[in-house]
Parts: sequence; structure tokens; C-alpha cells
Amino acid sequence: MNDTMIENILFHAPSPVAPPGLLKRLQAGIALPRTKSEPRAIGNWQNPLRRWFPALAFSVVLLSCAIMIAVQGNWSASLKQQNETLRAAAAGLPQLREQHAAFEKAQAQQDELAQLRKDNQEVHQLQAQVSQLQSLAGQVQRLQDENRRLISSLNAPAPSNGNATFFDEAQQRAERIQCCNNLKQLGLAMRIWAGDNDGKYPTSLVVMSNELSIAKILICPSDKARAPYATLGWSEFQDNMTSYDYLAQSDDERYPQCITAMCPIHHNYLFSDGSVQQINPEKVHEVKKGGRLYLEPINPNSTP
Amino acid sequence: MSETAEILYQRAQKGDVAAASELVSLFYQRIFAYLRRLSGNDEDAADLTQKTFARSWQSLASYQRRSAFSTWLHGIAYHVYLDWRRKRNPGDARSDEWWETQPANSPTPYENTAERESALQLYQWVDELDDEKKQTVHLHYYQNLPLSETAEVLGVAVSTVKYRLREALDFLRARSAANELHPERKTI
Repeated sequence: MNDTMIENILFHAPSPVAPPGLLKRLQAGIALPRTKSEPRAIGNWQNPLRRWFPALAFSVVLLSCAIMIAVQGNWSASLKQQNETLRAAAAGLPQLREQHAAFEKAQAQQDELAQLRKDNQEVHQLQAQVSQLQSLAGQVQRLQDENRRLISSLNAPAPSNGNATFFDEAQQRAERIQCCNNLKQLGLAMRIWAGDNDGKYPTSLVVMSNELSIAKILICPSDKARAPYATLGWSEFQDNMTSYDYLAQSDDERYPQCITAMCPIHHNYLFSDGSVQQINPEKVHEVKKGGRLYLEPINPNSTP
Repeated sequence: MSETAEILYQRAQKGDVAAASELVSLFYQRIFAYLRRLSGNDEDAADLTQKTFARSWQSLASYQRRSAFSTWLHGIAYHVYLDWRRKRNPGDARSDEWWETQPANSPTPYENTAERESALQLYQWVDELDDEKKQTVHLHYYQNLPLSETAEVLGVAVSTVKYRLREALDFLRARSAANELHPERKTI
């Protein structure tokens, strides 16, 4: 065989036939990959964006940095300006402090002046009240005198007339004498008590229970209202139960003429020296000197 | 056919399964025949054909259109066959029954039994060629690929293809001459 024959036989070599079903298997096994051309076709606009993205990103970053620098520069400038303003304000601070101190001082003085004015007003008011009270005290004194006079006139025995009996007068005289005796015993008890207490008179009657022995001495026999107190013991008796006005002060011993006790009914007066006098109220009156009561004649020429 | 294949390929590249199916129906016979002659049995040839098309779908996007689609597909089949043969047990014997059955079932240019026997003998001698020459003969003569496409499938220059074919023809002619001188040495 020559080359032509060999080539002819080889060119016409039989072709094996594919088994049935192979075509279907091959067609069923077609698994085309996802086409990459589709996004290109759809997103032509993306290509420039993708191409320019690095430049755009860098530009954005650069722009952001520039904006940040500008904002920070502006902020820094404003802070500097504030700083300068504050420094300028701080320069005048000592002067302002002095002014403030002077202002506070002036304000304190003004407050003090206002307080003084207020105090002055109060003083004026108090002075007015004092003068008012003094006038009231004078009125009270007069009223007291009048009250005593009225009481004495009320308790005094009716003027003897033809109706008064001899026995009534004797009774009144006896009661007056008994009242004098009571005051004398009171004066004696006071002196005894002073002897035991450095020459000082007691300011209370109850403390002289040992010297007085019984409380009956302190009740005037003409004082019928206080007659029940005469039977009380010292444990029950109180200073305000007595019929007499007890005026003694601790150092009255040095003032022998001052009144230490008196009977408002009979006008019997016990003096500091222990003496007792029965006086006529129309001829003498009580005078207060140095906080003590004395008797002085209404008419200086007449004797009590 | 190549223009039709080109259009189908473009559609398949865009994800058209119908076009891909059409491509399969166009080329599966040739690829199966090529691999059947090389592998020696139908089962392996069918598996290799499936692998060839599967790999072609995976590499569809990488097809650069520098050659015809059939050439590109033959290149894939050639490499699939090489991979298969590397993994295959070297002791597996190749079936030769096909050469005896196929010519009788298909239209041939043989005019008599003597020529048919000569053709069968020639095909057997082709199988005795070394692998490079055998691949060259298969692609150029059996698969009817031009020299340039054969060279592209094998990854060699056209001159190399020509050289190998020349060598193969010399070998076949020598064997034929030897067979005519010593007919008792027929191997079939």
C-alpha cells in the first residue's frame, strides 16, 4: 500500500456510534456557570464608578480632612478670642474686687444705719410707753389710796350717835386695842427673828412661825372675813391670809421710822423700831421714800 | 457548522441552556467516537464524554475564540483522556473487538473482503504507534481535523504534526510491505 491508499483508509475509518441515552445524559448534565457578561451589560454605569472609586474615596477622605481642619481652626480661633477676652477681664479684676469690697462696706453701713433707725424708733416708742406707764402708775397709786380710804370708811364703825350702845363702842375699842397688840407682838417677833438672822427682817410672815407661836396674831379681830384663818395651823397658813399689810424689807432695821406693817381697818401702823401707832388718816398720809413708806402730816404744823 | 456552533456558543455563554443542548447534540458523536477509539470500550468512552462536556461548561467563559469550537472541544477531550489514562491501571487490556464489528455495521469504501481485512490490519498497526503519533493520526485522520487544529489540540507546532504523520505513514507503509512479503505473520 502506498501513502495515498493508507491515508484514504485512515480518513474513512469507521466512526463508533454513541450508545443510546448518552445524548440525554449529556444534555441533563449541562451546568452552565453564571454568566459574567450580564452584570456588565446591566451595570455599564458601574464600570466608571468602579474605575474612579479609589480616586473618589481619596477625594472624599481629603475633603473630610479639609473640613475637619477648617472646623478645628475656626474652633481654635474662637477659643483664642474667648481666652483674650477673659484675660482682659481678669486684668481689671483687682479693681473690681476693691470696688466690690467698698460696695459691700457701704451696704453694711447702710444696713447698720437702717438698723439704728429702727432701734431709734423702738426707743422712742418705748419712751412713750414708759411715760404712759408712769402716768398709769400715778393713777394706780391714787386709786390704791382711794381704795384704802373707802375700805377704812366701809369697815370703820358707824359714827356714834344716839343709837350706838355703850357695848358696841367698847367692843370696837377692845378690837382696836387687840389689833395694836397683834402688831406689837408682830414687831417683837420680827426683832427676835432679826436677832437670829444677822439683824435682817423677814420678808415673809410664815417664816416667823416659831416667834409668833399662833397665826391668830396675824388676823385683825375686826376683819370678820379672815376670822376663819385665825384657827389654821402654820402648815396651812399663807402670807396672803393675814389682815395686815406686811411691808417689811430685810434691811428695814436701819430705818426705824419706816412702816413695816399696817392695819388697813384701824390704821394702826407698826414701825421698824417695833413701835405701834394709831393715827388719824385725815391728818397724816403715807409717803414713799427710797422704796419705803413713811408717815407725814398732811399739815406740817399739826402732829399725827 | 462552525458558524452555527459559534452562534450557539455565544448563546450558551449567556446562559442559554437550549443552545448548550444544541451544541451537545452537534458534537457528542464526534467526541464519543474519538474517546471510544482511544479508551477501547463504550462505558469508559461515555464517562469520558460526559467529563469532557462538563469541563467544557466550566471553561466556557475562558474560551477565547482563537480556534474553532470543535478544536477547543477536542483539546478538552484530549486532556480528559490523558488524565483518565494516568489514573487508569496500566495492566488493563484494551478491547479490540470494535475494529472487527464496526466496519461491517457502517458504510465503508471497501470493495471486497481483502480490502476490509487490510483496513482492519491498518487500524491495528495505528494502535501500535507510540502515543504522540497515534494521537496525531487519530485527530487528523479519524477526526478529520486540519493540520493546524490538530497541532493546536496537541499543543505542538504544525510542522511537528506533519513530522509525526510522516513518521506514522512510514511505519504503516513499512508494516504493510512487511505483511505483503510475509502474510503468515499477520497478527489478526
